Amino acid sequence: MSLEDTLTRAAGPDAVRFTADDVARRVAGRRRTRRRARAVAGAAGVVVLLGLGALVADRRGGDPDDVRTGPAAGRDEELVAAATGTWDLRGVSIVVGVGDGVSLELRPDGTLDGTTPCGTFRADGWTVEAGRLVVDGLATDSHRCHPDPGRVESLLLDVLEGRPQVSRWVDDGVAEVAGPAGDWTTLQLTAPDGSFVAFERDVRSRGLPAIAGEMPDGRAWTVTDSPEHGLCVTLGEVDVGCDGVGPAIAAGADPATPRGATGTVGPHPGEEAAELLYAHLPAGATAVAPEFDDGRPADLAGVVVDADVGLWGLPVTPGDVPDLVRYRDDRGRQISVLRVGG
Amino acid sequence: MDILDPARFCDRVSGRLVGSLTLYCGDRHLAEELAQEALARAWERWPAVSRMASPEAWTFRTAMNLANSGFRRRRIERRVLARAVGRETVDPDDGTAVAVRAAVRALPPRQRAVIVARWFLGYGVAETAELLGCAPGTVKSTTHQALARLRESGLADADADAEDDDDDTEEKVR
Repeated sequence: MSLEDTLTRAAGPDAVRFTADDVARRVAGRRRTRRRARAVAGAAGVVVLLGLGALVADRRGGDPDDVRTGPAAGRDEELVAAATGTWDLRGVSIVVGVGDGVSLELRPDGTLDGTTPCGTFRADGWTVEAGRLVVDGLATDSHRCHPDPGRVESLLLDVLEGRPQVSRWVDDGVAEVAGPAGDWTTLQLTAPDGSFVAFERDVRSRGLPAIAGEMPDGRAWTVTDSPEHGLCVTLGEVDVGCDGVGPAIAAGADPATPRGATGTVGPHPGEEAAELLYAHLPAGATAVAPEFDDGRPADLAGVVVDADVGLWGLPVTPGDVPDLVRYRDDRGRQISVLRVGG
Repeated sequence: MDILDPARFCDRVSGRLVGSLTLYCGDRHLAEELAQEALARAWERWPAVSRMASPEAWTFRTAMNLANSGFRRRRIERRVLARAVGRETVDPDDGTAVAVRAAVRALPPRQRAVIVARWFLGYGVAETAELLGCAPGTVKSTTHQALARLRESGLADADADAEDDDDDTEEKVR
């Protein structure tokens, strides 16, 4: 049997268990989630930072610092201290596995992504109140089943009632560097019952203010604020460079002047470019509204705005780059308007 | 290409996409989840994706990126596991298919991608180079290395990569 035939047989039948309608529903769910996320992104970012520590503390039953130093059987205290000592909780995603097939990803942008035995769901915000996770705006995009939002929320609250005791570091406690698509490092605490807490961050931005997002094709982008080099950008596996290497904006220009970074990171001629708009946020700004000179607003899919870090980024279609960016505060009031490139 | 809308594109490529991802990641359920996610991303950007030389290759590349991104992959794996609750858990495939997938899965990611692209999707050297974002020469050397590994597993014969040596520009046709 030829290699082609062998692989074709091993790949399984042509028939798949999903249809174009299922994909369409998934697309609709993603769009719905983005709309909701954009609406709450600014305020939720602050809530996340406060809630994050509270949640971890609650799960450990004490102060947020307990996650670093609290007693737990069998773990390597020295390694814990070394790993978490450089761990900046701002800008990381947290995944909480709570057993029975349920996991939650609490994102820096304030949204929540999770799974239950019934399928997946997303929510546009979460907070911690009185030690319990409160989820807003649940939306399931599962085609397997459609639990009512109240039931999902109840499930989340129920499973979070238990406090998994952190007892060991998986992977021998060594931070795991994932594939080349972004150098994500995952630090995961796993309890004997299988529940876990995982922290994700980009190793290249360790210790520096940074934001990260995802391009439409699944590769990661990062913007890091380096005190030496200014804003530095990576698109997928490509290190695009920093302000200090090739001036992205004129000397003395407003730091919030939107920059554009282009990387030839894709496989096909003509479609390979990926472009990212990014900049510092002006003081008080919590939202960005890029638009073209003809007044057409830019698609905000994939935008990341982190008011705490003071950075934002938006993947845009190469060759279709907005001309200006309006900065707004959390009440929607315009703070400033700056042209791309200054 | 006579594809008019993303729905038809999904119907047309989903089988091959899931098959290629099954080989790439070794798990049919995970492959279906990755395929759906990649197809959803293609759908969202259909005006741009449909104009590409190979929307299927872009979608496959996107799925590979998702599979290679460890954290995101684990998230998807958890989703798959969650959905597996109460479902048939016995692998319906025969032992041979499982062994072949395991042998392919044991290859490094780039070698794996080359094997799947060339011997399952039927791409030529140039198409595979575009897909992986590398030089055609790299595809050939990677192909030789991958086939050597597969020969050790008894999956490839000595003639499998002879055409690369015979004709640098030959495109494989399925």
